[in-house]
Amino acid sequence: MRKKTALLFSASLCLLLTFTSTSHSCVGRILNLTANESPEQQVIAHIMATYITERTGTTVNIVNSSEDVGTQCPSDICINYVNTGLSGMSNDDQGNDDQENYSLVKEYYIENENLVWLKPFGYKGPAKQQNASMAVPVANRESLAKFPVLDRVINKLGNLIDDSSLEQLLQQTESGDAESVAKDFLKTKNLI
Amino acid sequence: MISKKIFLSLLAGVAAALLIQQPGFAKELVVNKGVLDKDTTWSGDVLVKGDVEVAKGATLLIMPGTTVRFAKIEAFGPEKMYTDKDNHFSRAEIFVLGKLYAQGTKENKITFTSAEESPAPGDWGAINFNGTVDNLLEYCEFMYAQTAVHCHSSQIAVLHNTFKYNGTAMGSKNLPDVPVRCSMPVLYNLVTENGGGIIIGGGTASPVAHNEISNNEFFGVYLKKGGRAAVRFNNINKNGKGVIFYATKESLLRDNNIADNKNYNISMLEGQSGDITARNNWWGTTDEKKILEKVMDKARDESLGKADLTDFYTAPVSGAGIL
Repeated sequence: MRKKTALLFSASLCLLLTFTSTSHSCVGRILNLTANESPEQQVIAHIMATYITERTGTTVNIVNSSEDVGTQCPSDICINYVNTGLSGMSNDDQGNDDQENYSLVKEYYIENENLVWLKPFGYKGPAKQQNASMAVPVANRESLAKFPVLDRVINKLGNLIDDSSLEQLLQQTESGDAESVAKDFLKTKNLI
Repeated sequence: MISKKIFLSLLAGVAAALLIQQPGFAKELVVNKGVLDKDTTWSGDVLVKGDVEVAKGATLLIMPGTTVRFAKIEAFGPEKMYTDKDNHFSRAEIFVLGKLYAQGTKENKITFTSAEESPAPGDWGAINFNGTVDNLLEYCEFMYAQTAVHCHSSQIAVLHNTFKYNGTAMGSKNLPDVPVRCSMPVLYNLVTENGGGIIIGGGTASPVAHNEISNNEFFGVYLKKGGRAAVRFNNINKNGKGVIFYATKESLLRDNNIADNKNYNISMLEGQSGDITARNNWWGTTDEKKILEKVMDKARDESLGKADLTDFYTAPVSGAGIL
């Protein structure tokens, strides 16, 4: 069944594409989302994947990475943190508060790395770490061009998950799988 | 006087010749990657082992009772005619640039399916129609394709077929720079247990009527950007979502039974900012509150358009579905 869903979305997306050859087929593109193996990134990745799929019809493939992506985003979308973003910039660029740092990071990465830092989720991460800072969905600019309305959809998750919501989600993943927890969360929020 | 031994040998030869002509004993026709550039007839058992193109000017005629099995070829391997990974599915497909007539009968259907022992959706790609008119798919069964029927700026009648276990049953769209406009009447089909049902893409004007569209994992009918369709007298039940909309304006959706879909009976995707009209349908209940609970529109998300479900029927539409 899962395979059918993946196939159907690629089929539906392909109908948006422009063809240039004389013999046309239809293969759509799949959106890749890289997340590390921490419970926090896993549940947030499933929330994003489920929501994007439900609201755009695009298949999202979660790519599990055993290492942190650092300041880069090796696939279409990643989850990152403002402090990580700052670490890739010059020390002179640090602001006075979280919001200012987010604005600086956002500006720097779009100009220098073609990465778009979207609306922060609302919680601070990495979860349970001392240097936690705003958690932010990050997308490659080319990916946003390829997938219409993607930025709008992801931004609807902005400020949706505060620290206590994240804590609850993490507790729930201890007894249930991240995908079901994500789906239930989105249903509770009336988003799907 | 012929000897008993010779007589028995002759008898065995005649029996073998007669048996070979029976359906169960007929030799399977193996079709490798290639172009059919003259009129061709398929009957009996056909094994497709690569991309097949029906060239412009040629017609592929498939006889009632034919079973066409697609081998699950190596992804983008040597049996693929087109290796453009962005625009072509990795497995075997048929590309119709000429014409395809696949007309089975109620008792003697034509089957398109996987050749795998344990078949799965996506074992083969699709039957793609590209800028061609006067095609017919009637009394056929389509199973285990990525998208069984793909209409690209073509005219195809899709009548009395069964679509089961495919990624998506069928989709249509117009191509730029192709003068033929897509027209794909979809009538009297059973579309069930696929990932998705029927996609109506940009610029098409297809009647979708009297179909049974049920138990598809994600959606029953998907009306998308610029797509125009008259969707009437269908049973659209027990799908993940009944009818979904993306950036569409001009479709007619009435006189259907749209009920018991798992998530929503009507769902607007992100990007459907225009209102839609879906009056005169049966929604499985006369309780307005319950009807609206199964609708994803402006009431749930400000960025979406509003769905007008007024004048809903108070009982199921009789005569909807396959007659």
